[in-house]
Amino acid sequence: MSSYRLDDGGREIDRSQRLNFGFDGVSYKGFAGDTLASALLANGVGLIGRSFKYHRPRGVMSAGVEETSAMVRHRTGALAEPNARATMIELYPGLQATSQNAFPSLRFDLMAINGRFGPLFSAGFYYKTFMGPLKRSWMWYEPIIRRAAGMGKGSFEPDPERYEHSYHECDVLIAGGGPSGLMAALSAARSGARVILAEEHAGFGGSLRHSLATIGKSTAAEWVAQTVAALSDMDNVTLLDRTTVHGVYDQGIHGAVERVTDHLAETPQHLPRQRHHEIVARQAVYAAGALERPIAFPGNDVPGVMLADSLLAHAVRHGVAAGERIAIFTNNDTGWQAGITLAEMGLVVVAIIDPRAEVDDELLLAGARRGILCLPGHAVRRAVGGKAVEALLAAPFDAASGTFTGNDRTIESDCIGVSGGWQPTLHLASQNGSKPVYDSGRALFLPGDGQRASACAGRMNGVFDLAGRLADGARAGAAAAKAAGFPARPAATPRTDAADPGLDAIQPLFAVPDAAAGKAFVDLQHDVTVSDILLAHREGFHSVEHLKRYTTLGMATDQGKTANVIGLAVMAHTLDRPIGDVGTTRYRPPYTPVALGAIAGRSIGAHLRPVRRTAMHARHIALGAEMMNAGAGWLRARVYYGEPGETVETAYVREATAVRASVGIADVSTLGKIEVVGPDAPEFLDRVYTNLMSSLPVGKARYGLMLRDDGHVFDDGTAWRFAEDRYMITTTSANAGGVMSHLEFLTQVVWPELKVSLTSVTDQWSGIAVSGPNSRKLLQSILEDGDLSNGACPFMAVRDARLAGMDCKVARLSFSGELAYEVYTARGTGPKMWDTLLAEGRDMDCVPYGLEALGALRIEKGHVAGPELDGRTTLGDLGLSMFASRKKPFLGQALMQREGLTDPERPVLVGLVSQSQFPILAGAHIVDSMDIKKPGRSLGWVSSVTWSPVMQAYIALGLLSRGRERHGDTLYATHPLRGSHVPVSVRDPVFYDPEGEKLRG
Amino acid sequence: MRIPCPICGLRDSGEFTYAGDATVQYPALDGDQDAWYEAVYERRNPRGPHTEYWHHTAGCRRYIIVERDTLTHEVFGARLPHGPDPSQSPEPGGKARARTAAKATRKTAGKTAGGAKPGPRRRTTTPRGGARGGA
Repeated sequence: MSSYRLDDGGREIDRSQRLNFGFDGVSYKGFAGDTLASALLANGVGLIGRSFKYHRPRGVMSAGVEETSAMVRHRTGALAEPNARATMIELYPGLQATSQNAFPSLRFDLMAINGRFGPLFSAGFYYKTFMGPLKRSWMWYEPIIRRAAGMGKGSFEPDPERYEHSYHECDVLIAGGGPSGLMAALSAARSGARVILAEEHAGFGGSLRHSLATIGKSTAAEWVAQTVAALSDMDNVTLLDRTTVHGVYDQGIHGAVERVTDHLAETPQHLPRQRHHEIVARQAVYAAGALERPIAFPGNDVPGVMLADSLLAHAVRHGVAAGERIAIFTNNDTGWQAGITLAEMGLVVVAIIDPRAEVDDELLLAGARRGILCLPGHAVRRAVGGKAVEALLAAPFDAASGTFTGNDRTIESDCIGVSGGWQPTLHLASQNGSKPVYDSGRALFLPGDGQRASACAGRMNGVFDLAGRLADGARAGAAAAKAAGFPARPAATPRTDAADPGLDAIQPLFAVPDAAAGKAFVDLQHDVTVSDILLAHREGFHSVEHLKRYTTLGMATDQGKTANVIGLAVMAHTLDRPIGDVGTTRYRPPYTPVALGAIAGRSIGAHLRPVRRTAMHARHIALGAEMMNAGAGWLRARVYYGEPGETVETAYVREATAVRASVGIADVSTLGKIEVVGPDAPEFLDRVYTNLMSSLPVGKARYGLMLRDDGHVFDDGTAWRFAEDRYMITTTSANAGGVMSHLEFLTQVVWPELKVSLTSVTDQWSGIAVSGPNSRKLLQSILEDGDLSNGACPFMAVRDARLAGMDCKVARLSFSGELAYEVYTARGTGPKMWDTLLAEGRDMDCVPYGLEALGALRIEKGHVAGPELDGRTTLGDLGLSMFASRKKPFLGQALMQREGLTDPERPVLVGLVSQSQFPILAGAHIVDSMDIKKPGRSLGWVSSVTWSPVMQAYIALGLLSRGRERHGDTLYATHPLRGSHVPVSVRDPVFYDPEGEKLRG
Repeated sequence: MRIPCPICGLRDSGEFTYAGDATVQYPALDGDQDAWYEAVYERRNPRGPHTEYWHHTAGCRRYIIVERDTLTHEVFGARLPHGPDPSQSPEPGGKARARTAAKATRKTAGKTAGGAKPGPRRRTTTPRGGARGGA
């Protein structure tokens, strides 16, 4: 390819600012205002990447967002972004980009052999070859295929960039800053509406950026500058450039991404890389323009085959000629205009080839006058060339029958500008409810009815002449403002001299005949050819939705912006049905790829969800605790490494042993706590707990379970009665929020007549469990009033107390099975209480103990916790049927008696003891087979495991079918994934002090 | 999506938690198993307008009833589940009457729960979790 920089011109580049940049490690020079694509073209670099499946050479094919071929990896290291469109990357000093999908190098790609075996890689190749009869081999082939056929490579490093979210409300949102969008903004803003105008590119103007028309007394560029200046002077207008409105969501909420610093060499510290805007618009005007459509012919992917209008864009904006000998292949008058304008600018245009026999005489004359070979009634048979276009073959063509009618002639050319018509960018309208309608006269889909609170304007609305687009924008802007409740004041439409040819004289041509004989690409990014679509048809994939999925047409990162209509036109032709009947696939957001970082915004790392720390957090750290996430965001101590060389296992065994021998303290502040207050509090608790809570005496606590309405156990905890009408209930730490929401639903929705109020007080209290035979002695030593003897403070008693000058509540509860208390103080007093207990307990070898020891102690005692309350167990399964009161109804009672929930085969809670020196693994299945290879049917599973200091063995709790009848049996806890198969003896789940003498003592 | 909370005004849906079908009538606690089965499991999944509960978890924590189109997410309105709190009634005996009334509603509702189609029940299997069980 022999593209080059023109000696002058290029209205968007600054020739005084030369920039160095690198592509594939080679250094080049460009100008400020270039895109990476225009700068590469200016340097004569035509080969930019290799294609997805066949590794065919690819170059630049457009000048904008629809680019299918010039995909690069932009930036390096952690900042690397794959599949970046070179046409959308603004040049900055030091820019580094690399080609994608080439091995070992771009110019010599071994994988290009795939192109020679084309038939092997046809439609449905993966399904047929690897997922059909040879299903298993997919596992083996997949990584190799993924490497060979892939998009670009991202970075495996964390994204160091910052992203922000921004929220807006406006009366009128305008998507697209071309002539109609600018006029719409002007009109809507004049009426007083709050207007946001979003433009995808760096500058406003849309097609006016490369238009040579005059508007009023100004050039197009001047008019854009004046209009933007007028808009930015208005307080009710927000202008967002480099901002893509990527989708319309419910209720007029639009998502948009602003590329704040992507065009800069480095991101300044005060700015994010990108900003995601969520815009709630009362009314929207979509002025997203139209994209030129290519025509499929063999070789239409060779570097040098481009869209006709993009040749003009590169020349006018950047002063770049995409070739030394340009040929135009067009089926409509816009292609002629592009070719003639290029020739007027001094580029060499060798030929204009048009399948229409009848072409407007003025165009023919204008072409001939500039020395262009005009070939009406001809079509391109194929492009010649490998890494660059060298020539094209054209032949006489009969448009009526759609066949070639004569011999080929060779036209020397290094750049073919193709125009197969235009397609309005319907994405936003379609997402917002409009069904596309086919206009067969102009061969394009137009937005249909059904759009919610929005309208289209300009080319997107099917208006192609500049004067019409300006007027349509003014109309749409005023109408949107009116619909949003403002007076309609359309801005005056300026006059323009533009002689726009329009599309009325188009001869629809989507693919040349016999295109299937060579590789004629429909979807260039996903390497889908005309023959793939014909094959899909032969195999019975006739609906466009099936076609899309079977061939992957339009499923690459460009989402088939230039491919989809051609694909369905080829399918319609094959089915012999009108294009409009075949219909389009759904347009889905986002319009262009959106970085996941932009969607996440600041909700990353520690900001993803709040971390909750108890008041004693610093104490745990100082004591050498390993902290772990214990659910609901809480950090809790797992173990305290108290002695040198301790592991988790040795530490928790030491802690648990110390508790059983003397006394230990644990931070239990994370338990959910809800105050239930009101005259109907006893009645309310009777309804939600399975056991009676109204009979609980003041000053006592009672264990209780809640069921879901479907009869399964929901949560457990204790209810403490402080007064006739005042309780505090505790919940499991992880489930506190869920229990609160559940109770709120019941009080607000189901039983509004109950006089009861709920307050979450979890964070108001610091809680410390004091457990072990010396716990009473320890607390008594700092108790300022009364005593804690069995008579004064029996098991399950709750009383107010003063401990070492601190007001608190002492509840005689035991999770460990030992004589134990829970001490609750005001949150802020917690650390002082903690310190006091440790200091006073020093003589008794009081230790702090963490979650692992807490778990070991409760498993020894057979207490159920989260792993057993997994939402699938019933009271009966857990051996807790005695908590189902017969004196009153409760939530879940009706469905808990269902056949399936009372089945005697159901797994029930059992204790398990390892019969070997190996641990039992949590999640293991319980089976009766000795053979790990043939474990047989699962009889149940292991829920909680620990080393038991009391039993001097690995023990577990589990749920086992007919478990109570199997006490004494030996079974196997099998975990084939981890190669574990442990013989276990089944027993009662209470390993320690089954009579409860210790905790009542 | 935005939801017009009757207490807090128009708020982003991120502040709310979906809480299920609001056309379901819960039977009395001692209601029969069939009525409960119907209320918990026999839920419709309409495409179009729907009446549903939302919990303003990150706001006033009220459960509200929202009329929403499940297809377009258009929200037609939102209200509190019950009218003025009967316990706030200035008339003497307001509470007792309210309680009786509510009980009566629940009793009748049990027979027509949710207006779901009558039909054979599948109760031999154990469904995993109720429709709003994990709330």
